[in-house]
Amino acid sequence: MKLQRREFIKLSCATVGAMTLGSGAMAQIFPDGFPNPFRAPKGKWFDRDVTTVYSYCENCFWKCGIKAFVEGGKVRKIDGYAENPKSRGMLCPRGQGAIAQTYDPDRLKRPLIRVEGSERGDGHYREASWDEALDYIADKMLAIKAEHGSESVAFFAHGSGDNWFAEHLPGAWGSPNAAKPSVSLCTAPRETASQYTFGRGIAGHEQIDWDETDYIVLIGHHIGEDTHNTQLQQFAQALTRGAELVVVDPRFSTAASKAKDWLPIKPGTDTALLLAWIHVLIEEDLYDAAYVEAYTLGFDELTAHVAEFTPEWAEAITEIPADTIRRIAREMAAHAPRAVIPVNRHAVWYGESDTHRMRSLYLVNVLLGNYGVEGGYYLCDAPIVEKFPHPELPLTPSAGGCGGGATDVVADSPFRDSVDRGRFFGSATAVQEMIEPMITGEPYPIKGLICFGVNLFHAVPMVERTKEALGHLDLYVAIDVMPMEHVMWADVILPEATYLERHDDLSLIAHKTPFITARFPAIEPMYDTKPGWWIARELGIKLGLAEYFPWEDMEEYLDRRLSSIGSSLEAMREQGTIVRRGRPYLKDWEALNRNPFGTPSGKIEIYSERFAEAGLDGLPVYLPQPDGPAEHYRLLYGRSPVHTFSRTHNNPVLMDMHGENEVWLNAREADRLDLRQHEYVWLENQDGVREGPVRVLVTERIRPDCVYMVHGFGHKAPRMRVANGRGASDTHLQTHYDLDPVSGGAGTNNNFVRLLKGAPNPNHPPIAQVANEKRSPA
Amino acid sequence: MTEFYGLPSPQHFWHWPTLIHFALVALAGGAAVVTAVAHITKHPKVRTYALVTMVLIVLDLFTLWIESPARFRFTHVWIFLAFTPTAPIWLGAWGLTISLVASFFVWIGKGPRLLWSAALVVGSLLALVYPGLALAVNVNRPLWTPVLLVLFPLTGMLTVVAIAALFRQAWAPRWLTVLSLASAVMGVVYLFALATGAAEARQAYAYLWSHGGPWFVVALVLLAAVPALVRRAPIAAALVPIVGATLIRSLIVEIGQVQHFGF
Amino acid sequence: MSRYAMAIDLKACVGCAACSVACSVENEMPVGTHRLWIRNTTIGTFPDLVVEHRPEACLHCENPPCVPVCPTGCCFVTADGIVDLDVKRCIGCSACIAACPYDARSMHPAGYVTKCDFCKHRVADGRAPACVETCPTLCRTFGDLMDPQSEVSIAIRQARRVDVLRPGLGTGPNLYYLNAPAKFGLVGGEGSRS
Ligand SMILES: Nc1nc2c(c(=O)[nH]1)N[C@H]1C(S)=C(S)[C@@H](COP(=O)(O)OP(=O)(O)OC[C@H]3O[C@@H](n4cnc5c(=O)[nH]c(N)nc54)[C@H](O)[C@@H]3O)O[C@H]1N2
Ligand SMILES: Nc1nc2c(c(=O)[nH]1)N[C@H]1C(S)=C(S)[C@@H](COP(=O)(O)OP(=O)(O)OC[C@H]3O[C@@H](n4cnc5c(=O)[nH]c(N)nc54)[C@H](O)[C@@H]3O)O[C@H]1N2
Ligand code: SF4
Ligand code: SF4
Ligand code: SF4
Ligand code: SF4
Ligand code: SF4
Ligand SMILES: [Mo]
Repeated sequence: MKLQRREFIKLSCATVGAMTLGSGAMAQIFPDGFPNPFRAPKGKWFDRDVTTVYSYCENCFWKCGIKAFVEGGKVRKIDGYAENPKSRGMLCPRGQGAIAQTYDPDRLKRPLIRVEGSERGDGHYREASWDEALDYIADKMLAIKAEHGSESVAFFAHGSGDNWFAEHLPGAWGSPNAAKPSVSLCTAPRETASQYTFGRGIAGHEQIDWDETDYIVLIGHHIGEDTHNTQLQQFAQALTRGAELVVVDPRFSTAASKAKDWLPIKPGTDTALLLAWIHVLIEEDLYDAAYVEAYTLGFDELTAHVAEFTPEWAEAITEIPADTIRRIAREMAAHAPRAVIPVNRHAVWYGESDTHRMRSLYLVNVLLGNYGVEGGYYLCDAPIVEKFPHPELPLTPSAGGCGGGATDVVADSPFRDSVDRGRFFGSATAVQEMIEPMITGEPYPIKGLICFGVNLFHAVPMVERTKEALGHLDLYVAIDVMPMEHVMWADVILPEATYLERHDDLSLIAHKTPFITARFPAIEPMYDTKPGWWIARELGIKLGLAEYFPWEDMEEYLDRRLSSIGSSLEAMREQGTIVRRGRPYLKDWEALNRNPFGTPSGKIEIYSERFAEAGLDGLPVYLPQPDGPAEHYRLLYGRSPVHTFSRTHNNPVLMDMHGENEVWLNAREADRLDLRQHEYVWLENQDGVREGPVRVLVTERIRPDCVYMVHGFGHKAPRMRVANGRGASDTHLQTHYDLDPVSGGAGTNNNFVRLLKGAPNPNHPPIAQVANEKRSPA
Repeated sequence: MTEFYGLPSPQHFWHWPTLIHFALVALAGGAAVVTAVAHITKHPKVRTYALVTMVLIVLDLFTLWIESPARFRFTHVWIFLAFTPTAPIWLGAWGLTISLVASFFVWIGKGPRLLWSAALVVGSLLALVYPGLALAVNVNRPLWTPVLLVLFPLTGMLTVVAIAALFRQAWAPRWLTVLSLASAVMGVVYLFALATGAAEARQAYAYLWSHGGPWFVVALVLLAAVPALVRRAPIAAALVPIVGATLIRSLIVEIGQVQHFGF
Repeated sequence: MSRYAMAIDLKACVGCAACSVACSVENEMPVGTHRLWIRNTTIGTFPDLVVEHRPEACLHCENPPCVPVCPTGCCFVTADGIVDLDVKRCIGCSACIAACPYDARSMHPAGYVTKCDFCKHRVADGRAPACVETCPTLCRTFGDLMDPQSEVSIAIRQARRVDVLRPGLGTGPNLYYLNAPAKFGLVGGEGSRS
C-alpha cells in the first residue's frame, strides 16, 4: 500500500511535469516505448518453436529425469517425463523452479582469484582466465604435496560432479581425505546400521515398497516437507490407496496431518519407543517367526535384551502412553509384512544414539518380516555400466555417499590413512572430522581444500571453527555456481556451469527397476563458466595426471561407457533413461539361488558380532539425551518443500513462495514469553551465539520443549541479493555436535536456544521488488 | 493459523487514487445532474454549470487515466465500443461521456434542446448512480451493500451542492440541509442494516469498526451538524458536508474491499 | 462442447506448491504474481489438530460474477466452460477483481488482469494443465465433467466427500475439493456440496 502510494506520487508528479513541459511525457508514461497497436503481440513461448532436451534435475540430489524445453535460446520450462522412474512425469516445486538458478544475475560468471594481500573473507577478487586460475591451484597443490604429502589436500564435494571431486581426482592425486556431506551430515548412521545388519546399504533411493504397503510408521521423516519427488509420489499414492499412517514427531509435520495417529514424542527418545515395540512384538508373539527363523541370527539375544523395555518403561521416557505403544505394535503386526517403518534419510540427530535408533528401526521391520518382502523394503542394486578404461587409480577414497557402501582405503597403499581414521568405527570419511586437523595439524596437517558444491558455512556445524580452519590453509578452492558466503572466502573461485548448461556422468540408480539417466546440456554455458568434468580434467592435466583422463570430452566419455551396455550417446539423447528389470524380493533372489545378505554370516544380523568385537553394543540400546539449560528450547530443524538446503535462497521464484524461515514455537510458550505471531526475535544458543532476527511462528503444531526451523535460510552473502539476510541459519546455532562413534555422523539436535524479544523488524522488501530490480552483473 | 505459499493479489485492488476518483466522480455526476435540472428549468446559469460539469468530468477521467495500470489501452475507445450494460463501469463511462457531450453543446448553446435535456437526464443519472452500483454488485464484499445504491448518489449530490453553496448559489443551502440529513440517515441505515444482518454482515460490521469505524461516526456527526450550521456559518456549512461525504465514501470503498470472513 | 473441471484430493495434497511454481513458469508469471496459491490452515489445539492444505485458483464458475461486470467485454466464457479474458482489451479497472469472490484474479504488472485459464494451450494439445501434470502427490485431476469416464468425473464420483468453495453464492464452481480433512468440510468453506 505504502509503496504504491509513493510510486504513484512519483509517477503522477512525473506525468504532470512532463505534460507541462510538453516533451518527454511519453517516455514517462510508456517506459517501454510508445506501444504500437498494430504490432502483433509477441505471443507465449509455447506458441513458438520449442525443442526438448533430456536431462536430470540438480536442484537437489534426487536426480529426477527431466525434459528441458528450449525456445529462443532460453530454457523456458522443465517437466518430468513418464519413462523416468524418479520423476515419473512429475516434478517437485524445486525442480519446477530450478531454471531461475541458471538465469540468476547474481551467479558466478568467471574465475576469480583473491586479491593478493587481502584476507580470506574480505571478498576482494580479481577476474582471471581459466588457465591462470588452474595454474594457480596446481602450483599450490604441488607445493603442498612436496612439503606435506598429497594427503594434505582435502576434497569436499557434493552434487553430480562429486564423482570427479570426491572420487576420481583425489584418487588420481592420492588423497584419502575426500568426503561428501551427504554421509556424515546425513545418512551415515542408517548406512552403517544397514551394512552391519543386512550386509547391504540403503542406497540413495530408499527402497521402500510403497506401492504394496498397507501400514506406514514414520519416525521424524517429514515427507511432504521433505519433497524427494518419487518418495512423495509413492507415499501420497499409498495414502490415497488407503494405507494407514502413523507419524512419530515432536512436531505436527505435514505428514502428521495425514496420519491417523500422531505421536508427539519427546525429542531424542525414539530408540526407547522402537525397543518397546520390539518388546511387544516378541512378548505378544506377534512377530514373523518363520521369517526370523529363515533369515536372521541373534533373535534369542534380542528377546533377552528387550525383556525389560516394556511400553510402561518407554512411556516414562517418550511421553507416549503405553497403551498407544501397544496398540500401534499390534496394528503393525496385524498388517505385517505389509507394514513398514521407512528409514528417514537425515539420520544424524543425536550422535551415538543414532546408529542404535536406526538399528532398532530395522529390527522392528525384521520382526514384521518385511525386509525383501512385498510391502516392506525391496532389494535393489545399481545398474552396472563399465568405466571408461583408464589406468588404475593409486587410491580409492571412501567418500561414501547417500548410496552408502564406502570402501576402505587399501591397507597396504603407500598413502597415509585419512585424518579422521580411528575417530569412529565406520569406514566412510566424515566432513566435519577433517576440519579440526586443519587447525591442529593432528594426526597430520590438512593444508589445501578443494570444495565442490558443499556449503561449508551452512552444511557443516560449528561455523566459527570452520572459518578458523580456513585461515590455516595454504590453498582453499571453491567450485560453485553462486557467490555463497563460504565461496567468497576462497583463494580461487571456479564458476561451474549450471546443470542446464553441461554434461555430467551417467546417473546410475539402485531402484526397484534399476535405471540409467543421462544429462545433456540444454543451452551453451553462459558467461565464462565450465562443467565440473572439464575443470577436473584440466586441473588433472596440470597436476601431471593426464593418464587418468584419457578422454577428450564428455561426449566421447559417455558414448564409450554407454557402448558397454549396447547403447550410445545418440540413443541416449533420444531416450533419456534406460530402465532395467530388478530383483526386488527375496523370492527373486532365491529363484536364482543367490543370497542378498552381504554379512559375514549371510544372514540378517540382529545381534552384531562385529559391533561387539569392536567394543560396541551388539544390540541397540536407548541412550538418554541431555536436557538444555533453563529457559532454552531444543532446536530442531528440517525442510521447506520449496527449498533445498541452502542452495535455493537466491532463486526468486522459490523465495517468492517462502521468503524467510520462522521459528516454530508452541502457542502456550509464546503466551508465557509474551510473543506475538510473526514478531521478530533473536535466537541465542547455549553458547551465547546469537542469530536472527527471525519471525516467530506461534503454533499448536509443536511440543512445548522444542522449537523448529527450516534449514538453509539466514545467508550472510551480500552478493546473493535475494537471499542475503533473510531468515535465520540453524547452522550458525549449531556450535556443538555429538559424534556418532559408530558411523561418524554428526548429531546436531543437542543444541538449545532461547528466544529474545526486541529484535528489529528487518523490513525486507518484497521478493518481487528485489527480483525485478535490475541487478547488474556482480 | 493460516499460511500461504504464493499469496495472490493483495486484498486491496483499489488504492487511494481510486478514492480521489470516487470523490471526483461524485462531483462530476452531481454537477451533471445540476446541469440537467438547470437546462430543463432554463436556469440562467446553466452555461456555467455545463462548463463546470465538463471540467469535472475531464478531471475525473484524467485521474482514472493516470491511475489505470493500462494507460495506453485505457485511452482507447474500446471501452465505449463494447456493449456491456451489465457492467456498472461501462454504464458510468457512457454516462460521463454523454454528459460531457451534452454539457459541451449546452455550453456553446448549439443543437436541439430536447435532445440535450434527454441526454443530460440519462447521462447524469448514470454518472451519479454508477459508483454505488459498481460497489453494490459485488455481493461477495459484505460491506458493499445495496444501501450504497442510495447512499452514494445522495452523498454525490451533497458534495456538488456544497460546492454550489460555497459559490453562493441561492438554491443551494436548502438542498444542503436536506441532502446532508438524508445522507446521515442513510449512513445510519447502512450501519444498522449491517449490524442486524446475517452473520457475515455482522462480521463485516465488526471489521468496519476495527478498521476505521470511528471515522465513520465522525463523518455522520459532521453531516448531522450541517442544518445547524447553514444559517450561522455558511462557509463551514458547505465545507463540512464535503468532508463528511467524502470521508464516508472513502471509508466504504477502502475498507469494503475486504472479502469473506470465513477463512 | 465440454464442461472442464478440476478436482483436488485434499487427503493427498501436502501443500508443497509444486503446482503453483509450475503454473508461474509455464504461464510466465512475473515474480510476485500468481494464478495459483496454497492456503495452509491449522485448526485445533495441541495435540488434536487438523491441517488443511488447500491450493486455490480460479474456479471457472458456471455463473461467474467476474464476467458481467467487465466494462470492455473482454471477459468471456468459452463453450467448454473456461472462464477467460482477452488481455489486449483489458483496461485494468479491477471491476472483475472486485467481483470475484475467490480472489482468483490479480493485476499483472504489465497492466492487465491475469488468472488461471486451465492452461488452455495445453488442454488444446490434449495435455494436462501444468499444475496437474507436475503435482507429486497426484492429487489433481482435470477433465470433462460431461464425460462420466473422464478422470475428474471418476475422482469426484469416488470421493468420500466433495466440497466447493462458498457454494452459497451460487457461482457454480468447477474446482472441486475432495476428502477435506476436517469433519465439517472445507475450513471456512460454508458447508459442502454433498
Ligand atoms: N524440499 C526438500 N526436500 C528434501 C531436501 C531439501 O533440502 N528440501 N533434502 C533431502 C535430504 S538430502 C534429506 S537428508 C532429507 C531429510 O528429510 P528427512 O529424512 O525426512 O529428515 P528428518 O530429519 O527425519 O525429518 C525432520 C523431522 O524430524 C523431526 N524430528 C526432529 N527431532 C526428532 C526426534 O528426536 N524424534 C523424532 N521422532 N522426530 C524428530 C522434525 O520435527 C522434522 O519434522 O530431505 C530430502 N528432501
Ligand atoms: N544445520 C544443518 N546442516 C545440515 C543439514 C540441515 O538440515 N541442517 N542437512 C544435512 C544434509 S541431510 C545434507 S545432505 C547436507 C547437504 O549439504 P550441501 O550439499 O553442502 O548442501 P547445500 O546447502 O545445498 O550446498 C550446496 C552448495 O553447492 C552449490 N551448488 C549448487 N548447484 C551447484 C552446481 O551445479 N555445481 C556446483 N559446483 N555447485 C553447486 C551451492 O551454491 C551451495 O554452495 O547438509 C547437511 N547439513
Ligand atoms: S526431488 Fe525435486 S529438486 Fe530433487 S531432483 Fe527431483 S525435481 Fe529436482
Ligand atoms: S502440487 Fe499437488 S500436493 Fe503440492 S500443493 Fe499442489 S496440489 Fe498440493
Ligand atoms: S473464480 Fe472468480 S475469476 Fe474465476 S470464474 Fe469464478 S468469479 Fe470468475
Ligand atoms: S480489469 Fe480488465 S478484465 Fe477486469 S473488468 Fe476491467 S477490463 Fe475487464
Ligand atoms: S490450470 Fe494452468 S493456469 Fe490454471 S492454475 Fe493450473 S497451471 Fe495455472
Ligand atoms: Mo541429506
